[in-house]
Amino acid sequence: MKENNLDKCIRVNFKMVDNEIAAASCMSLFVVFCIMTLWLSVLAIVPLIVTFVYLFKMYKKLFYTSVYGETAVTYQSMPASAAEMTAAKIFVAGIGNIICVVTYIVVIAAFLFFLGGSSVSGLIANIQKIVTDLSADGGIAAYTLVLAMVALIASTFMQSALIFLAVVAYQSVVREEKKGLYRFLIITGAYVINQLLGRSGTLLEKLGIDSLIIPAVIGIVLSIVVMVVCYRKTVKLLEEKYEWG
Amino acid sequence: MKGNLNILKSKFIMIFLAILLVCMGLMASLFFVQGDTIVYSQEQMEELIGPAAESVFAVGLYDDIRIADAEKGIFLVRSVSTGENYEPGFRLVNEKGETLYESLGTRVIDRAGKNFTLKYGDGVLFLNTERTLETGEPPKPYDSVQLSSDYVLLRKDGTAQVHDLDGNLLYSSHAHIKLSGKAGYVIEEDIDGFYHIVNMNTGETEYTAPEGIVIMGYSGGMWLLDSHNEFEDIDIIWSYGYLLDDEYNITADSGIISGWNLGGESSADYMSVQQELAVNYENRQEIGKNGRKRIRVYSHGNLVYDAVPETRYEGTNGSHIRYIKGDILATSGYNETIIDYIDLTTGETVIADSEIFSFMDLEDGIAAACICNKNQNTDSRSGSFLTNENKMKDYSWGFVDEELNPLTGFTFDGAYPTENGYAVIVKDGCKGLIRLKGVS
Repeated sequence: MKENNLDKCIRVNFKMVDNEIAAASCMSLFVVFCIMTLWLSVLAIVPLIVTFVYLFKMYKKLFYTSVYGETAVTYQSMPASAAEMTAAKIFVAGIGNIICVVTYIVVIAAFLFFLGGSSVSGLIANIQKIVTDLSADGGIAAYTLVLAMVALIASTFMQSALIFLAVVAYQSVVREEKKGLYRFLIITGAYVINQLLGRSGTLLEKLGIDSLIIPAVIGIVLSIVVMVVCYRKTVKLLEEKYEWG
Repeated sequence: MKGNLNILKSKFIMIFLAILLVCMGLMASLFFVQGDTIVYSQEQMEELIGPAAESVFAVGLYDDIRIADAEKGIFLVRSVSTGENYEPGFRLVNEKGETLYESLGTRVIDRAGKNFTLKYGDGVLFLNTERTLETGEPPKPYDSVQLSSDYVLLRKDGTAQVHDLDGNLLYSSHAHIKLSGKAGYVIEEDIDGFYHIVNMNTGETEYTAPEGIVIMGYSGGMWLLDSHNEFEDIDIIWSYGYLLDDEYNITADSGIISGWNLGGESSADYMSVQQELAVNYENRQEIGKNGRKRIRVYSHGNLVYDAVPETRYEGTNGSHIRYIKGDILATSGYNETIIDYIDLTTGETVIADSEIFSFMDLEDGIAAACICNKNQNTDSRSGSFLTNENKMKDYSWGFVDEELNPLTGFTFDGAYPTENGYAVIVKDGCKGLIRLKGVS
């Protein structure tokens, strides 16, 4: 398959933050190891903080430094549209987050693999046991896990889009004298939207909708809608500011 | 419009979506695979178990199987957690698989005879299978339940009640109590952390342990007490135990105990302990290089006491007491895989130098047994296998007669003690139920 402009943007952005993603993933690995080793569990807070620091650095490089910071001129001289660059940044940020989560899952799967006698059937049996217990104790049907996985991925990309929009909106609309107020409003707005989406299941439960599938589906749809809205708004703001594309 | 973008033309996004779809497909296939596909056929079962046994429930038919009443052929089963018709929860079935009672708890926590404790929501269910089947009375939920062969301890809303197996209330308390292992007695912990031995018939406290000493339980005619904080000036936390007789006197030869087995899967008539040679505080310490006191341990070997209490068996340093069932002790030397079987009533070795580890449940002439696989570096075969299925998988399992002659091949991944000829087996991570022929 031939590489188009979007692919090139993704490649460039990924190159930009590959060290941060690798470092955050390694630190995630240490978090799981610390938690699994009982006497080290208290120390898990240290690699956890380092993970967040590297994720923050990743976001900063992707959404600020390469758009408004010292490397902005280099990246904006690329023959790519604002839409392509925005999509690539949101995609890479989302993938960076997902890689950290996958690290957790791989370590836990490896643990279950060895627990199950180092066999795939043992691994599957252990996973099925966990799912059975979840199903039985918490009333969680096994297939909702697939929906939960999609919801998690969708919300990850949505969060990236939301953060990018917040950064771009702040840089675009803020006037010097009201910087503090705008910063407060944008951060609070992004946090509230994220929390509302993350807790849609709880809200639905309070409204009397007792279902495990509906909140997951609504969560996926809302995440995609918010992501698209954020993406379009971000592109518009970038085009207005730089007369991009 | 400038903001429009055809992301599906991107190679990376397409690869990501493909990986996502594969992951979803794998997860879906894992959970939606029909249970029927992993259930052993009649031919497969015959090939697996051989001519000496017959299949009752094929491997994979149920997710979990427990024998509830071997004499009446009643079993506690949980459906396989795959397939469209999956319903979580245990039910009681007969040998034909016909449901006798359903909608029980979700995971078996404990079992004593025909009584079970099952996980249910945040609490547990106490299931007396005989009563439930006779009267149709549903099992009741509790905060926690402790089972023994004679009593049931039920805790709910801060109150603990001890009942006999007929359901008669024997003792009630708001304190934290646990069953002791001795008929008519419970162990009570007060709010100050002191442990007491309480006579359920009179309600009187017969013995209070010194501060920091925990009363562990009663087995083999003696009380076992444990402490790990008496020697505060020593920089090593070391748990030790000692024994009391029925008059609550420290038994003269009990010495310092560093390991024990209190009933549990083993026989309640015996207590096996690992005793250290040093018998008093002064002998158990020396001044280390930094001026700190350190413990010097002289390992003396394993001892088995019976209800008199009298030493019934004394092993060498590091010898391994693997299991006691009835009056039969399975033991082996340090780092050895060869097992001797000793009759504790006579002290005679009934079977010597066997590579087979058996649960020696020979009341019906058969027993579950296992052998080490090739190239196995460690041999951890013991009674703990009965509560830890993961340990079973490292060995090959089958069934033997009372002289340890194989009745079946060692073809199973796990096997549980036989009851009236019935035995639960494990193969490929799934359970099945078989009946050994010639046993009724």
